[in-house]
Amino acid sequence: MVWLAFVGLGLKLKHLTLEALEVLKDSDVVFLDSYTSVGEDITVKSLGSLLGKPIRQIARYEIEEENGKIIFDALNKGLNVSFAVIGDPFIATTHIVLLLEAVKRGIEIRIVHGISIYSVAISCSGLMAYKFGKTATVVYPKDNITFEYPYNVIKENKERELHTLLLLDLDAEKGVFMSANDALKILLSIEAKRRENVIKDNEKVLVIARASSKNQKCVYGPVRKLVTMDFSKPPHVIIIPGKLHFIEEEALRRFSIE
Amino acid sequence: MVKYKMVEDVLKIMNNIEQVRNIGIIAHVDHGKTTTSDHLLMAAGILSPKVAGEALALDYLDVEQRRGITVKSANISLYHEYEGKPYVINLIDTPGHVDFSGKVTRALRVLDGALVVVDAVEGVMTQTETVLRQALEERVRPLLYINKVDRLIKELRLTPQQIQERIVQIIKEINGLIETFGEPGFKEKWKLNVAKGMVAIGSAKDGWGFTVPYAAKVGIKFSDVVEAYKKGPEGVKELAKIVPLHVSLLDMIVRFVPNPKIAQRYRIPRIWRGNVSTEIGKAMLECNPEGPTVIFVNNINIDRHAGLVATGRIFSGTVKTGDEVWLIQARTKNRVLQVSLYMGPHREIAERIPAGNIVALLGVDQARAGETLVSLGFKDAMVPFEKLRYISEPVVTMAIEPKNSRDLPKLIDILRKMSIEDPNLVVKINEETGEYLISGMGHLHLEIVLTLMKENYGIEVIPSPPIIVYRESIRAGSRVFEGKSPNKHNKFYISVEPLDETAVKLIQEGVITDDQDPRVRAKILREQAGWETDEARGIIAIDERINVFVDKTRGVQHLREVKDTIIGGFRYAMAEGPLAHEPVRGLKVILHDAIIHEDPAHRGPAQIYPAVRNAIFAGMLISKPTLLEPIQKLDIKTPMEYMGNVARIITQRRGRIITVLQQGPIVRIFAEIPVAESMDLASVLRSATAGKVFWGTEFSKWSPVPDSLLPEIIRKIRERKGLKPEPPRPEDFIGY
Repeated sequence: MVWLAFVGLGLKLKHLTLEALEVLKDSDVVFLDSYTSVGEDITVKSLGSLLGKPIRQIARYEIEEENGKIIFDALNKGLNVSFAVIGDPFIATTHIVLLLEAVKRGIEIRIVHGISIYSVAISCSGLMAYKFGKTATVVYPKDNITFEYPYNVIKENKERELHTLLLLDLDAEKGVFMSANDALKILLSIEAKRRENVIKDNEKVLVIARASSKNQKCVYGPVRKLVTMDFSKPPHVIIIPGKLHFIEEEALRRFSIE
Repeated sequence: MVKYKMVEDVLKIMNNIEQVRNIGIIAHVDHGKTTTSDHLLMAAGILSPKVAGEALALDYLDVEQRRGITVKSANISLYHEYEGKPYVINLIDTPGHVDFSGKVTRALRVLDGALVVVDAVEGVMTQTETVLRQALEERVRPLLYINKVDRLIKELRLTPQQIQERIVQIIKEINGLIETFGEPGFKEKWKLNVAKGMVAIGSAKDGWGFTVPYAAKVGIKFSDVVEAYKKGPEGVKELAKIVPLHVSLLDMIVRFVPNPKIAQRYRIPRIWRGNVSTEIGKAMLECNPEGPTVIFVNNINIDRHAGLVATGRIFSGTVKTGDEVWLIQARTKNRVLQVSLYMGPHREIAERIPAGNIVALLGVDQARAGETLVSLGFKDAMVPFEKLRYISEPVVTMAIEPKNSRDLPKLIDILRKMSIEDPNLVVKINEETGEYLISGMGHLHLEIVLTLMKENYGIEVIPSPPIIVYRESIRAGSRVFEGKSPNKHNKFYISVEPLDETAVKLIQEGVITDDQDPRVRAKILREQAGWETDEARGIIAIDERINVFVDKTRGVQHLREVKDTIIGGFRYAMAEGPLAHEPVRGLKVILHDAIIHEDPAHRGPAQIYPAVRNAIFAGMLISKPTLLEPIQKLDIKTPMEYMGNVARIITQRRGRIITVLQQGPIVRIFAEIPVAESMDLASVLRSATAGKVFWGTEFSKWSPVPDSLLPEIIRKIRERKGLKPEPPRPEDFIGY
């Protein structure tokens, strides 16, 4: 019987787990999700040469508009299929829909978890995982509509003294990679409109650029300074601290610019 | 020079509001409105007496002269003395062709009186009726001038007795219209009394005309007129000296058109929706030159040298060079760089012009026709005369490309200018083909646009054959459909149903609008259209093609945050329907429930637009979907013997005869015909009647195409647009 594997790759090739390598090598076809995230060095080419077989890039419309037809066609042909995803396949993605559809069709499922920005960002920061509230993505205004949801999330989390992990708008297919600067600008513009003291100019936040890569950069400092600081290439994430434990404070001081 | 002295005279009188009249000339096309205007111009000493009647100063665009109709509104200020007192008559020329009637209401808003010109031979025609009705709705007082009486004598060879009967008949018809469409309290006073001098008859071409009191004063009878024509050109010239048309008309206007101060007292409550007991309301009621500045812009022209020229009426205050004004629709302020009045096609600079007058302004570059200008201090207090309204819907489209591809940048610029001047001209770029699409009110409208392009801007284009614009609609209600986003994490539960006729009408007339106070809107819909409260209150969008989006959900998480995106999805669906990618019309879309993803990364427009659209399309496709085609009204006058031919042409073209009236040897046929069947109607009608036919057309309504033709029309449109020939099925919009 054929199987469909959801394989988390982590954020770079060296994050690949032994299990991931094994499943990918065992698959007849490997599709690489090219749109939900971006890895330091994970491309169709690099992954292909590591595995010694061709990798097929899969576009958003093939999963969404065409309902993953290309994957189910391969399965119907009796091929074992891996759907490889940067990070973890089910964290901050909508791929669970594909899994549920496969289950409905009686296909055997394998899941290989990967290292996610979720754990890497928290781990980098030294903040306590227990003290994080909801996560939110800061997205660019679309059709002149600014989405204020992240602002609401930060507000709620702060009221409960919790930290907020902010993911930033990313669409690899469209070449959209939001920088921490843009994200802070958007939040400040919402603050200017709402005036609920959620994001203050002199409030200190943590920016993590290229988490877990060789040239990872973590900077802890006031918003007014970070908003113009050059963090270089994406991806970036931001952590807005809630109430800090003294150990957390010390951990953040490692990245302080003041 | 006489001319400049005139400007000074005119400016001096403009300050004395009792000696000002604002009047327009309204008429069916070709009834002689422009010739009449020119005689009035002649009286003001701007044109030499010889050229009037041929020069057509108001038709200052060459193309209009050749076609003999007036396309653009132009304005003139005239000087006239009556019983020893000087008067300024601001005369605004309104377009007479049916295809341009969108401009007429705006023109009427700045007038207090209207001279209705009727061709003595053709009599009262559709457009006479339409415009007169519009005038009465704006509380513009009508006066009548029966033109081309020379034709009754020379062509029809009627006796003085028959001429009189003909004239009485026309007056009776006009009075009938005033009785039908006039408001109580006005129509009694406004019904035309011939003996008192509210009706003039004459010939603008030959320059004579009189009212009954005027004829009595100089001792002229019908038989004298007939005699004059018997004598030939000399006799007619003599007649014009005894009863000059301009004196008769201007006397009549001065006597019966109220001055702006009197007129604004009863017109403001009718034409302005604001509260008349506020400071600004009172200032307008009183036509106060010391009040806050309020100007209603009725027309925009692009002058090759001066740039954008805004013409309008000052309802309150005094406008001066250098004033800063607030533009309510554009939500911005502009500085007035130049204030001027009109003299014929030319503008003459003035320092300041007070309330009650018509003015031309330079510098208000963001203004469009229909804009309200107000003093900066009153920008929040002022209720605009007109909200951004749904302009008449274009029904014919052409793709154009420049003959010389180097002209392309120029073409873009010209189209932009032309669409600013002519709000009925819609310009779009087909993003796939790069073609420029121009849409207008009819075949003739687009033809004129192309000619103007060539004549005024020296640019020649290759047009595609005209394409009829359709609308997609439904004839039944649907059950609730689930629309999923591509990522399957967002769901919308939506049903569709036909929007009721009353609601369609309320939206079309601008009574119900997108930006209205929702409570006010709900009240109107409940009381006038019988809507249920929760639906009436739930409206979250009304699109310009007359579709309504109702939100009936309760407590859906994150709905508020994505509301604008959902509305975006609704508009996206309405712009191109499922059958043939034509705009949708007359739909009520109801959102019953929704499930929305927690994070904005997974509920952006790329997810929500298709989700909303899919549910709407699935619903439409099971609700007896159809195409609506534009139908046009016809008003045809022809001799009795051709009645059969005309009727046959109409029925062969899917037309319908509504009524036939016999008026002497002439029959008047009212009919309706699809625009799609009327491309060559003009030539066909002419050849079927040996050229003995008068006719007018007007947009009537959108109407479902016959079911037997529907599949074929859909297939043709889809093929033209490069779509697969068969329309989609409901299943295509319901994924897993």
